[in-house]
Amino acid sequence: MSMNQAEWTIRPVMRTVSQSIVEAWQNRRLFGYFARECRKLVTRRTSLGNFWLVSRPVSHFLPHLLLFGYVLRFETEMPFPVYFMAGMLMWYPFDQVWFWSSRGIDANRKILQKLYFPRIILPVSHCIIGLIDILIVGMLFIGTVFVFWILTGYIYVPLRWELLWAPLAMMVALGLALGLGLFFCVWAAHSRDAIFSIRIILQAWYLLTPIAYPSDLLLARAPLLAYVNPLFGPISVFRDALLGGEVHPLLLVYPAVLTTIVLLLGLRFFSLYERDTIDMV
Amino acid sequence: MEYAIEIDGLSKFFPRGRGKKFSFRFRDLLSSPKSASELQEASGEGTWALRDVSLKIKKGETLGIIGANGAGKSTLLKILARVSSPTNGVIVGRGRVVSLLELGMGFQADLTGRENVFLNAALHGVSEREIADAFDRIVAFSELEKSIDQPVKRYSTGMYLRLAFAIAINVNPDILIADEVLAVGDIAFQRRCLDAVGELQKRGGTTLFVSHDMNAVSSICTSAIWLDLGRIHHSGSPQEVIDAYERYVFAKALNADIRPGRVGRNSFLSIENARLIDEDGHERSSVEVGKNVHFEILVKILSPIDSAYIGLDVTAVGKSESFRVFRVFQPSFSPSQLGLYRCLCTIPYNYFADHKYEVFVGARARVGESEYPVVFAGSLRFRAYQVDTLEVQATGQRSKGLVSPPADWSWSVAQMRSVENELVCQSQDPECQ
Repeated sequence: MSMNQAEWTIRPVMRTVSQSIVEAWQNRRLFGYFARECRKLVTRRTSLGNFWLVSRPVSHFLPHLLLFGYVLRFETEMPFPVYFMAGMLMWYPFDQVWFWSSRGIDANRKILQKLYFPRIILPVSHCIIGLIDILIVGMLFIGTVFVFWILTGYIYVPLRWELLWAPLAMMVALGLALGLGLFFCVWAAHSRDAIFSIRIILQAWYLLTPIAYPSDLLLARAPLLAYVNPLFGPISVFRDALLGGEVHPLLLVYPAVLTTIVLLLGLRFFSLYERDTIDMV
Repeated sequence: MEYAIEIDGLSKFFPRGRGKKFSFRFRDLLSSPKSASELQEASGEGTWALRDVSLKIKKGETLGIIGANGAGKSTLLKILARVSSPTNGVIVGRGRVVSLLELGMGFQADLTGRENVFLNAALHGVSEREIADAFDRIVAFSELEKSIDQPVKRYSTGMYLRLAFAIAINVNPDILIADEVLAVGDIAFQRRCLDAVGELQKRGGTTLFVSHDMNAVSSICTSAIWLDLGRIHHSGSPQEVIDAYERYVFAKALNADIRPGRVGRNSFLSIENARLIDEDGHERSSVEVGKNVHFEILVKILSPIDSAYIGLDVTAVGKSESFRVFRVFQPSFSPSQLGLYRCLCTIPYNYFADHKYEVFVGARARVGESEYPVVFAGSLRFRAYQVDTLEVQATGQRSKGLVSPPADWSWSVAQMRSVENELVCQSQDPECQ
């Protein structure tokens, strides 16, 4: 609709993935617009405002840190807070990307009924919350490492080339979150069951992924659970790369393949059902 | 002749009962895309908001879309604006479309007017360079030179609407789609919007707009369509379509309910005035329950007719809603010549109770087999009140309700109780004493 004097047609056919992507790229300025809207959604009607952006992850971590680190006392090679925060640096953005991208259509009902723009922009731009969380949790992680450097005189994040595996593992995880978000975004527009389901699934998934306890524990007692879980690979690679462990890149193969499939199917699903969904929001 | 928009066989189906449920087929993810219509029709019951609408709109045309609520006007605009998608049919258009289904959609309250201009342009798919070029015109049109750098949340409604409309009209749309947005704001704003649409038309731009304001439609549109139940009922010149629409609406109104309409005339007769008068012919706004009530209706016969009828719909005005108490219809009257006639209707005393009433006046002209109804634009409101008569003062009982018909009362003996029974009762039953 932006091309001058160009001919356009409207037909009752569903969009293809490539059409969605091309259209979204033509309107890429809107990513910033809806990312901003989404960030405001987090702090809307709060009196503490941006403080919540920071305190959300902190208040989420503290009880887990106490329970797993000081009550259950799992044996880790390094101080538990460092180990835990490294895991959280990947888990929390994953959690948030899935959750907020699923709310893409739901949170923009009003404007969707009055203006047309490529809707795929909504779930994708909502990933901004996850990216903000990488920064926030990243800073908390650096702070933790710094504190233990002073306490123990040892830097737990060695500078080496294997560090580059960390962003790759992160991308695999966030890609999976976005792929799931594309499915749940359509579902959430139809019913709120989707949002409740996400919270429940994430809760279970968090406990079944070795974030707050050692990977070896899961591998020793329930290896099948570890290998089926598409987050096991990314989290192991991510943490090993960050904390100077031995990196096993092959662990990323299965998750990467799965992420690609979920992402493509998610795009397809969204492109197919987005238009009929708007009539019902 | 080049067309700006060609609509062919457009239909829109809204499935029912799928509002909460969501079903999809896994095989759609892998097979070729099913058309929306196939999926929707498969889902069973629902409503057709648009049925087989075909329409060609020339470049430079201003098309007014009129019709009752639920006729499919907004659905048509939503499909043209791509917000909603058609179930069947094809639309081919040429040029940039700017849609204004709601003014100020997408404004961010905490950003300044200037920032919002750029953001809104992005939402309408206008490039940054173009909006930079148009910026001065937008500010000038919206008359916001002083407050363009203030957050829009400080704007008054009028300023907000002006800015929103200024953006849409100044980005050089080839096709402007407006859903009743021209009807908001004060008269000066409306005037300016309509002028801007006129200018757009001169530049060769096409405008489609939905309106309930028949004056606006007849003054700026070059053509009009009347949608009814999803179909194009009538299309043609604005006046022609409006006349057809109003005739239909008032005919329907007179059959169901007499309600004030916008016009009190058709080509055969007009209701010039209707008022409540007392015995001496003075206009009144209240009557005593115990007095006769007179309605005087002035009807002008404009062209020869076979006969005329007048009807009065009397409604009781409640706190939240009104409802009809009765309707009286005058037997037909055959005017021998054109001119002004005075019709007097008397409702006997004691029909109205102590209450507020509103009377709607309608008339029909009968020519041959056809009837042409009109409805008086205003209504008569009056209050009936009860004067405290000696009787009311003595008993303290006032009439209640919406009518106080003159009731006839009489007493007679139905069955006598025997005196013995009365005595037994008195001795045994303490309540009898």
